[in-house]
Amino acid sequence: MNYPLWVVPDLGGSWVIGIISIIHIFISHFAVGGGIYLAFAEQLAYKRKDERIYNFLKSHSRFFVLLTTVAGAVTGVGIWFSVSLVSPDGIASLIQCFTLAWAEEYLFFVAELATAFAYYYTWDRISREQHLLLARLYAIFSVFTLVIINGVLTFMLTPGKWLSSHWWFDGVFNPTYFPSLAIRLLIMLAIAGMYALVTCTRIEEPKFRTFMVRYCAKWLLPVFLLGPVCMLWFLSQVPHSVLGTIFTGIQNSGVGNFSILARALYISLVLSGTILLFAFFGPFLNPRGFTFKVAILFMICGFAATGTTEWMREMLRKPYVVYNYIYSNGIHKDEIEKIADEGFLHRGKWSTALTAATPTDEFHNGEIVFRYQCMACHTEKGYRSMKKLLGQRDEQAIISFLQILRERDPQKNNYSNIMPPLAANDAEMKSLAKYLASINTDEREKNTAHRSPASDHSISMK
Amino acid sequence: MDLAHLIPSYQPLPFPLPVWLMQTLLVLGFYLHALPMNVVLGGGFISTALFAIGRSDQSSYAYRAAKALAVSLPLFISFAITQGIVPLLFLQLIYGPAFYTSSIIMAVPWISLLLVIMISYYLSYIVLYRTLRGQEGEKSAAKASLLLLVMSIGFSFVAYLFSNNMTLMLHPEKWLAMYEHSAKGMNLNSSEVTLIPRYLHFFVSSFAVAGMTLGLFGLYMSKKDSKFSEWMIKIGSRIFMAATVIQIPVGLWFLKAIPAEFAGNFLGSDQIATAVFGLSMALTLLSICTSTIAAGSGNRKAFIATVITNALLILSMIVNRHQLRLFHLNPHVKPELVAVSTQWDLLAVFLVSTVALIWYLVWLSALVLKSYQKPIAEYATNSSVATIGEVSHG
Ligand code: HEC
Ligand code: HEM
Repeated sequence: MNYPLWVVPDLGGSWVIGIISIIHIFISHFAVGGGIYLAFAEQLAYKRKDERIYNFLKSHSRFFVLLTTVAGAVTGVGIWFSVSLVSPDGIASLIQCFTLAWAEEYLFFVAELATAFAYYYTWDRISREQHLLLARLYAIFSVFTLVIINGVLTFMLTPGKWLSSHWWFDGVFNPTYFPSLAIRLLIMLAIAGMYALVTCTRIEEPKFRTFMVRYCAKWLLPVFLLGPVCMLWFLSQVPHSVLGTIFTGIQNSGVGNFSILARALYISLVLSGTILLFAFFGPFLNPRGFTFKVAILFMICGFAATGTTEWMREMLRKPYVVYNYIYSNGIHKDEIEKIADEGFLHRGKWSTALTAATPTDEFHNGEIVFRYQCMACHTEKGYRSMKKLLGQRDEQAIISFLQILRERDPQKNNYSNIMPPLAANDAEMKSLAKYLASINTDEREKNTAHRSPASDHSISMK
Repeated sequence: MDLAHLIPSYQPLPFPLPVWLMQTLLVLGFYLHALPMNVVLGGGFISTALFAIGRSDQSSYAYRAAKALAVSLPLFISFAITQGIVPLLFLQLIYGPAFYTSSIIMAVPWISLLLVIMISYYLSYIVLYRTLRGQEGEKSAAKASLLLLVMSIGFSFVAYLFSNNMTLMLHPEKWLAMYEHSAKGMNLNSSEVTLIPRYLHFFVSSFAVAGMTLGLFGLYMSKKDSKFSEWMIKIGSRIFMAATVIQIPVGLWFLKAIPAEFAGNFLGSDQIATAVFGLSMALTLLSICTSTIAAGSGNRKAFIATVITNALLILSMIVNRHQLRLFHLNPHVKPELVAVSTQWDLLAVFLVSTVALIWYLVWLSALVLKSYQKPIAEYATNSSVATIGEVSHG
């Protein structure tokens, strides 16, 4: 409402961020995990006095540097760009709370990149002690970039004491900071192992390949052994209402009891389980049969698991950007009550400007309310389609739905864990209903054509 | 015109640093972004041309210079991208209300810019690891030239989009109509009168800076191959001189294109702006003189003088650019009204880390540069088990 809202048809702004983030997370976790891997493997090469490992690392490191310094860095900036476009108020708050943490992150990032280049360009050019030192420095710097950014990421889910103190320290070292750091480190090691498996399959000499494939597969074990414990630790720090969203689902909503989050959790577990089985039966029991194609399949599973896990983390936070502080649609939690009395459209600069010329055009005003309050998570006809979700509700049924959505008391609003309360006065609510009713006209017509209205239960709101 | 109703509010939070400090960091940060970015932009085209010129003879100076530039490009691209982070951070903090808005209005081109960067970036590596690997000949040189051209066009497009957004953020009066034209972010500020001269100003200066860079390569090589070194200094200075002379009409065009009131500020009405502008003009003339000497004789001292003058010139131009932004935005966007609660603790950590980082980078560069002066074979072939064994105990 403060800013103009970028309308992304079908996909929705959240997926623009989502797609870039998933790619970035997969690469950046590799950047960190891979750094640790390279340092240990180089040490192994020297310890076993094995030139083959050394040569393998030389070629693996090119792939590593090309992927992390180019795609990793650009997608990282990409997340920032996309969040700025989709939730400018959210990112502005984050940047303002954590400016210097961000700046510190930048310093480590520069150190990390510079070391990566130095490391890569000095194979065989400096002494082996020095080269190993560079590998280790790289690993340390990249872990530090995680140490900082993890503070900002976890802050959004559990801002903890920051909400009252507004001190950056409370924000960064929030309740889920340490468990999340542990989980991420474990995942990073696993991802590093998976990438290295891909390059290992290119090794020609069978015996050496077997050895390396086994070595890489070991990097997947920590996450499977310690992951569950860390996950429990993490969950113990998450607000109760969030846990409720995962396990009980959204009661009474048309979505059913089996929450999408629970589904995502299962998908993520199944994928991780598959990877574990793969890791055990593939590289361990049958390292010779572990081919390039299998390794790529492995990566795809890893990619999917990362995707669902990150998506779940995002969903956990819904309907907030910063839990209990700013909602996904940029409205501050403490504003809602005032808006309900005084109206929404006049509060923000741009929502005012966009409706000033047409104060009585209900349809247009409804569209603007929709953009600002719903499009953070819905699109008209694409992702989380309003058309589908509204089903056959007519304007009157939509008003009843919106009335529930407007309740601030979670007892009366069973959507309060997935959607922000509607912040609107009566007139705005009616405008919104009018606009929404125009989206699902097809659905309603289908209904009258094929079924009698009596059998329609999707409009029966309790 | 009162456009207050279109300027989004700041967040209800205090700034973590005083505004003057953030502005200083913005200007310095952009300076450090502009230098490598100029090398990439101009260097890409220059190495395209040099590969084309020297394609039939791989031992020609043109070919060798082209290769030196091409090999260094990925590093400069990486610097440019990383250094973009600092001005981005402070631009969003101080001028967020203008910058977020203009970015959203041109969202689609703005976000696609990153895809272009990524493609161009990978192209630079393809030249390095595919085209210039193994047998080099006329064919590979022509191919390198072509790929670098595509890469450079990509980066020019990126720069064009940047200029678009940097000018759009200065004109709140255009925003509403553009957003209503496309809320999907399919807009560009191409009707802006200052856009082309402003863009050309950057574009031409990038040739000057890339010329400097060639000369600096020459300076680095002076012990190894003094003739080639001299040639590089000469050609670099010539490119610099030509670009800077062309810059004079371009700059005048730009000055004429900005609102008369602001142009007046640079020409006497505003003391500080006039002083900085005067300094820039003096430095421009000085750098043309020194580069003329270096271009003729390959004189190293004259070249070094050009490098220093140019470094100061770019800084003062960037201050000018910042002042222009202030003239535009002062009536609308008022960062000085936001409360400040300085995070002294983090600031101290940040300053100490910055010093540590600089120290580390100096150490690292020395290590790498020294290693490149030795022949590569030293460790590769002598990697006896003994050397490896020693490390494992250490
Ligand atoms: C924080 C994200 C978010 C925002 C903002 C949001 N929603 Fe939702 N909404 C959801 C989710 C998640 C669901 C569950 C959808 C699913 O299962 O696919 C949902 C479901 C719905 C449903 C179907 C509910 C049912 O019981 O049939 C409707 C209708 C709906 N939203 C309307 C709206 C409207 C209108 C707005 C704006 C006032 C809005 N939503 C804002 C996240 C959001
Ligand atoms: C490598 C390709 C890039 C090129 C060719 C490039 C080019 C430019 C140009 C020409 C400008 C000046 C525009 C004007 O004032 O008219 C500029 C400004 C800027 N660039 Fe880049 N850029 C690149 C990458 C990046 C990246 C990746 C970032 C972000 C991380 C970035 C951040 C910025 C910022 C914030 C400014 C504005 C600074 C200010 O106004 O003070 N750039 N860039």
